[in-house]
Amino acid sequence: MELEFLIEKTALVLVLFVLTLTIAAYSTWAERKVAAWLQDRVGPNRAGPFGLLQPLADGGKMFFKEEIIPSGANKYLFIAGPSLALLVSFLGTAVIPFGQNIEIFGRVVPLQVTDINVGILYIFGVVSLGVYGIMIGGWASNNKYSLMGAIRGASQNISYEIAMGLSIIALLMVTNTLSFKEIAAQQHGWHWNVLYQPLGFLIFLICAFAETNRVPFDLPECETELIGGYQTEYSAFKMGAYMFAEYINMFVSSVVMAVLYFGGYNYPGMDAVNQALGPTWSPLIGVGVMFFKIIAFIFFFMWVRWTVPRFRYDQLMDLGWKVLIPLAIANIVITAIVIVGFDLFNKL
Amino acid sequence: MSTLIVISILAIVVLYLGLFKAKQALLPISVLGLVAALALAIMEWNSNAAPIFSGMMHFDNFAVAFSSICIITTILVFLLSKNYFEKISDNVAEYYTLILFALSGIIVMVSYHNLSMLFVGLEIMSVSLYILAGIKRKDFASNEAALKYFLMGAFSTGFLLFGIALIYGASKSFDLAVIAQYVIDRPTGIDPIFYVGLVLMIVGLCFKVGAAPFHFWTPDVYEGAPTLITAFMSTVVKIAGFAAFLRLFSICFAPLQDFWMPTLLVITILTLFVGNITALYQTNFKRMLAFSSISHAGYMLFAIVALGAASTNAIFIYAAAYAVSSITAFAVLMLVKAKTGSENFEDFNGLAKSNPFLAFALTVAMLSFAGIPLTAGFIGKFFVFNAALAQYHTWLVAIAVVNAIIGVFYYFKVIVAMYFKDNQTKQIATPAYFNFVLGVSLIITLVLGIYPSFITNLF
Amino acid sequence: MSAPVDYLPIIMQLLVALGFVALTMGITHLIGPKRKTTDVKLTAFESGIEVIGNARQPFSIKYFVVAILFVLFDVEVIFMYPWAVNFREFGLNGLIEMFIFMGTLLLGFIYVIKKKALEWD
Repeated sequence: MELEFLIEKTALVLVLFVLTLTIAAYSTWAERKVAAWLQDRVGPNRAGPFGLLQPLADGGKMFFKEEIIPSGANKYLFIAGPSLALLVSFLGTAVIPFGQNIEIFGRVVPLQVTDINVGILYIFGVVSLGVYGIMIGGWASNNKYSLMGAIRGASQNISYEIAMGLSIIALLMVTNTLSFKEIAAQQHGWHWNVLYQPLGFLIFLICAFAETNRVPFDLPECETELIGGYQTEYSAFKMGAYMFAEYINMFVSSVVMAVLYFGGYNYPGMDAVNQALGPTWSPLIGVGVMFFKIIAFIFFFMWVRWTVPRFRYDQLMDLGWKVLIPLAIANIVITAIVIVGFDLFNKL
Repeated sequence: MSTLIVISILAIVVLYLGLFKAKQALLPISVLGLVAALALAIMEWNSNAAPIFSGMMHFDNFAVAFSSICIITTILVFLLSKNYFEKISDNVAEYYTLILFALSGIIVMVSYHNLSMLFVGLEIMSVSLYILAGIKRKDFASNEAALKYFLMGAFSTGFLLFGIALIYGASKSFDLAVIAQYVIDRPTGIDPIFYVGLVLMIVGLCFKVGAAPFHFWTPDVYEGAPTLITAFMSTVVKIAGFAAFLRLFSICFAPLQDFWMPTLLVITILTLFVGNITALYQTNFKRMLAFSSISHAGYMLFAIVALGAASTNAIFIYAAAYAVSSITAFAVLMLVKAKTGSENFEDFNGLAKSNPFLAFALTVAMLSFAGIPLTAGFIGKFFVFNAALAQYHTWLVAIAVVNAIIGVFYYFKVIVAMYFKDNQTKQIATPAYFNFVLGVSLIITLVLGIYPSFITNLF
Repeated sequence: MSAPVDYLPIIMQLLVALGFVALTMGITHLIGPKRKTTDVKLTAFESGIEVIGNARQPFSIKYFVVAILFVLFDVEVIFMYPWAVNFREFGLNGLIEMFIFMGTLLLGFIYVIKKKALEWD
């Protein structure tokens, strides 16, 4: 372990961290702009051109708000809840490859914080930790709305995690690896996994909406019934932490979907571009493509939010347990039979 | 092997029968399935099977014998269950399923060849039993029994797991043969953690078989659980526990007898005295049976203390005798309770006049428990004591005989109540199934008592 | 193959995130306005009506059922990961064995649905 390794990784971590924050912050801006656009309004337009400075103003504002901890709340858990939610949401991106290896000053640098051979398990582990933030915060508030939101959030997240896990299994049968780097590399050019696993992608997409508590699955927050759900009692930056965590989770979900199903940094005709631009500049095009995909997914998240009404709780549970899980299992069975069938056929 | 598969599939089939409202088919199919499983088990007798599933299980004669006796006892329990579960709850199929799942765990427990399978089997059995003990959802005693059983069971499983882990740490294997080889290869200089693991495993297993001083859960659980479940627990489960105990010790730890024998000896003596003396003071028949089951655990531990070639046979005969007598006792108890509503000794008053057959069957069962000659219980005790005598534990046998005499007192309490006390009770209607079970148990008890060479030379 | 050193960057990322969280939580505590607050302001929010009772009371058993079912099924799903990664090497036999496993799982799932453990009304 030499110094360059440490510097390289530190730089990557910091860049990724700033990037995550920026994207999360501007997602709040984009959300309002998209909402405005879909509803034929203007949206934020006072702070800076097109309201571009709005996220900064919002973020700054949060720090200057009074910090309120309800008298009935459990003080430590009340602070731990949003902290944990925010902390955990940052961790997911560590195993994501954002591009091909890039050559800088004669040194080959992978555009990935770390490539571990259990990348998918890691992401799942980290993402499922997110529910603790909601649970702890909601319970610590000692508010009935918060508690309801927290319980709903927990049971919704765990319910959809099963379907999500099952849809991933079908994908793993295609890729035969748990490492994100290899999965991304396998989808070279246009061999995107979504072409082999359309049903798996659909299930994963729906589950991603549920796991990030976005409309139409935003029952934990559910402002029309539960005031603010688990964040009812929160103010100042603690409320901001929950909001940030939600947007970061959305970003992470988009990243994961882009890498697992939509080829990540791969695009048709990338070989020609690699030839033409060399190992320093062509990976940057890949990164650009990757971020295009990510932003497209984030836009999709927002589009759905302003289009589709919220599910009722029993509908949510029925969809998760009685539709998605059987579908995911069927998907596994079909995938398995097709792959083994092809293997046997090739042997003949 | 195929026995295990049949029982597991049977459990699922029964569960689905319940789901599709085929309540009438539950009992016949369960019994038929078990008979098939029994036949498959007996067919493997003397087949000299090698360990299967990468050495996970080994269906040797030991496994065949103990699975057979467990399956037979379960069949008897099932025959008694006609109309019993329907009275307690609507979910009848779940009872059968859980018992069958427990039985499949038991099959694993008596045929394991790898400590991880011992754990898996034990857990399959225990988890099913936790639910069965608390299956009368609205009954306070049943709930208490389930919770106590669960907490104690989880606790003891912890001990067992620690023990397994430490033994693995020393011998680097879960496989019984490898562990046995490890012990044999090192006449001196076995890793100290191996001994710690051994002691922890003794503690864990003693918890499971309900030996003193780890017996505290037994009376409350046996009393609180539904009677039929108690019958199952005190017979099949106890036998399985001893089979697992014996299998582990006879295969792996036999060369270390000098180390564990004193520990087990103290436990045995304690168990005998605690079981017998406490049973003496009971007024509730079911609770008396619970304590007597503790004392019988003591007698069976005898054979393990005096571990030798004859131990397996001794435990097998004792277990068989104990199982059929217990089934009789619980069957009569169920009938009496259905009639009088309580389970005390007075409820048996005058039973000899109103129901001579019931009284006779129960008398034979009690005599067998007490170890009176011409019953199976005598043969069982004889073999167990014989095993101990063979190793010159003369004074140990003396203690056991004293305990057997104490036992006579409380077993005869019931007989006295039935024959010498009067009570104007009307005749209890005995369903045909009960008569069948009682008859079979009676015959087995007497035949084994009079002509024991059927099963005395099995091993 | 992953070496232990591959996990080091994850710890670095964790430290950065931890630092950020601690910093922001500290800042908001330090620079936010502090006012003398009354008891009423610090009560739990219940749409402006007086708070009744405590929020920490038993809630519907359904949620526990869902949680238990999750534990059950998620463990089974975890078992399938190693199989899914290697299943081409196992060929047809591995496939049949896994289908038996999944069939058992499915039987349990159907049982759960038939028993109406997942009905919310």
